[in-house]
Amino acid sequence: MKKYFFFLLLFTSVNAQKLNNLHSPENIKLFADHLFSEKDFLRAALEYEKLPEDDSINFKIALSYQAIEKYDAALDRFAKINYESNLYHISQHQYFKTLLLSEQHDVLQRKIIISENTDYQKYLYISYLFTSDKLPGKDEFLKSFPSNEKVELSFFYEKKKNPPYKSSLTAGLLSALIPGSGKIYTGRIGDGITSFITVSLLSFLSYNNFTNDHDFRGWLFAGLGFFFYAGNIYGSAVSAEIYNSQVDYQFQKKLKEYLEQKNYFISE
Amino acid sequence: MKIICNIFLFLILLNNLSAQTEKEKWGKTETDYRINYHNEEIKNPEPKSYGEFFLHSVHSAYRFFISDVDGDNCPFQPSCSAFFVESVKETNIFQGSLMFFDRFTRDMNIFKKGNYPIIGGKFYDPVEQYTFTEEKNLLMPE
Amino acid sequence: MNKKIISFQNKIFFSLLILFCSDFYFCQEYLKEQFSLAQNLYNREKYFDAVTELKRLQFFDREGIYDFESNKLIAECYKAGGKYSEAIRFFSYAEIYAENFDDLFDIKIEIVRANILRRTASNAIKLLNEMEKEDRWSDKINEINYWRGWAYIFEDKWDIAAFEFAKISPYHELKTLCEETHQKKYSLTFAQVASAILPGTGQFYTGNYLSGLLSLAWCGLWGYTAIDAFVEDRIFDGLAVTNLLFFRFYRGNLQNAARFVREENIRIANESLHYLQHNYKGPRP
Repeated sequence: MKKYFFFLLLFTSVNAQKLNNLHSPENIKLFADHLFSEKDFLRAALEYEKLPEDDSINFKIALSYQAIEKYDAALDRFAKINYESNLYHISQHQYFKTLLLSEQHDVLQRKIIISENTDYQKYLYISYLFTSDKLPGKDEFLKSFPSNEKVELSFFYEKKKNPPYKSSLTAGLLSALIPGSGKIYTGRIGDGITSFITVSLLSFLSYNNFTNDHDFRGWLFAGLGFFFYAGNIYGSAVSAEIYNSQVDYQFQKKLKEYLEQKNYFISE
Repeated sequence: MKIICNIFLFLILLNNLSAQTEKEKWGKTETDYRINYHNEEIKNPEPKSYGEFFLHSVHSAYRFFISDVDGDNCPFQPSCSAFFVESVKETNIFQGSLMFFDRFTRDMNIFKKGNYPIIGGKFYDPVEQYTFTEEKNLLMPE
Repeated sequence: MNKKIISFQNKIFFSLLILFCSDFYFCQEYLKEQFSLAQNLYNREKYFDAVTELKRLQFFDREGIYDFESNKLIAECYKAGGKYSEAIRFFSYAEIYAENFDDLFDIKIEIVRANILRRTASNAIKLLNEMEKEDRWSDKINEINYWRGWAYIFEDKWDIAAFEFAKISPYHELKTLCEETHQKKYSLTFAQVASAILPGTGQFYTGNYLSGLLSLAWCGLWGYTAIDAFVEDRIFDGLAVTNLLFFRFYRGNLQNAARFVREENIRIANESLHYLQHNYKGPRP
């Protein structure tokens, strides 16, 4: 009977130690997984870092840092994953996704070209869509992506190849001919009409004052008219540049939204 | 009991939906009870040349005698006079003048809403947008 | 044979009982230690780490023994870190697990205080008004009035705040402070009406004499020019001067009168708020 109680107590205390030490590695892992699922990524990363490093832990840490936009830390962890690990392939995809998210396009392009691995070609081409680099032919571009995405990717490809830019020279010349028309050409209709009215009004006032022998006022309105006219030409040329920037911005925004929706073509 | 369970489950859902994504470790913060009031007085930085000194003097005199007295009329940020000073400093007197007259024309447009982002109740229209330099050509947000 | 079976069954029963009790006991001990750890971190102002340890406690506390204390302490950590929305959220969770009326009242007051600091004092006032209607808080009416006074201070309504503190005591320190602050403030209506009648007087009222003189001078100059033009039958010139110059400076004069009153009133309020934050000895949000 005594032996029985002795073994029971021993078993109980060992069991209690194992189950209830909240800071044991097993419990830290459980808690870290819970934090990760709750999207408390910073805490999850800090908890995972307490554990002995292995590939699955490094992967989770990297994903946590990626989620809170600490891209350099995420890249370091993805790079640590062993080549022979089951997670290597997915971690490489996440690595390139992180490079895209952090807009390190030159690094991404260099690494993919050096690796010569066709699995990652799609990240190279996505990167080309963001930068000003030369895109390959359309067929080669679309080959790297799933067939059900080709329609939307064709759209992005065409927009990148032939963006609907406006020419600064054209806008300037139009405004030189008809004040305000350059601004209407770049979509600023209100500004264009205001320019036209201002320059016309000042010109009329100048002419009217000269006709009535008010030379001083005539020259005053002529001078003002000249500056507004010159300003209108300058403003039209600049508005074309601003229009082109907006085209680029909208393109990149739509592309990012599309990639987020498709999870950067990484299958879970 | 069923109602309590439902409320509890709803709260868990709410917790998950509104789960915080803290990106940095944070510490103690002392909240200031005082009301924040942004005095919009703009002070010109130290002039680097006689030309800048003259420009700042004229601008300061204009602000003191006219601009501060006739009220807050410019719908833009920076105001037209500040835009002129900054554009001359960024470029030269001639280009700065062209930029100023273009700005004045845009100011007179009564249908300008939608062309500029609104920050602090004013249309945000910085000088850098109009200088033609590639690096300074900022992307205009919606 | 039956005796052997019964004896064996008893052994199994007692084994399980001992296992369960020991598990429960050790579990309780570890949770208690974990809560102490979190409290220690809180006392050392390591709020982020304290929240981590409290969340760990909540994760392993399957019985929910520490639900109230952990949620309350998490909320206090967030409040100390200036994250008032999160603080209110966790105070609300603590409210659900409050075990008695005193705890429940304390938590409700904490939510009110966090709302005041978050500058959503209107929410705080709504909560306090609801609490005032409930019979169970009838003995805590002074405390409700006290925090309602603070909420009105943060709403910049010093006269109403004084009224709330007066309900506690006619000689309350904060009542006197609020009344003095309210009396020092300038009247926006008076400044605007004065400037409408005579340009510049609104600025004189708030002590901005130079601005007032300039307003008076410009309005006088353009007013005279416009009248002169009308008298000489130069109607177009008169209309141009009136619309483009006189009204511009007249409108500016009204705007400045209002702006200076607002600036001065904020300065006066901030002086009182600074005193309340750094020198007032009573409970603060």
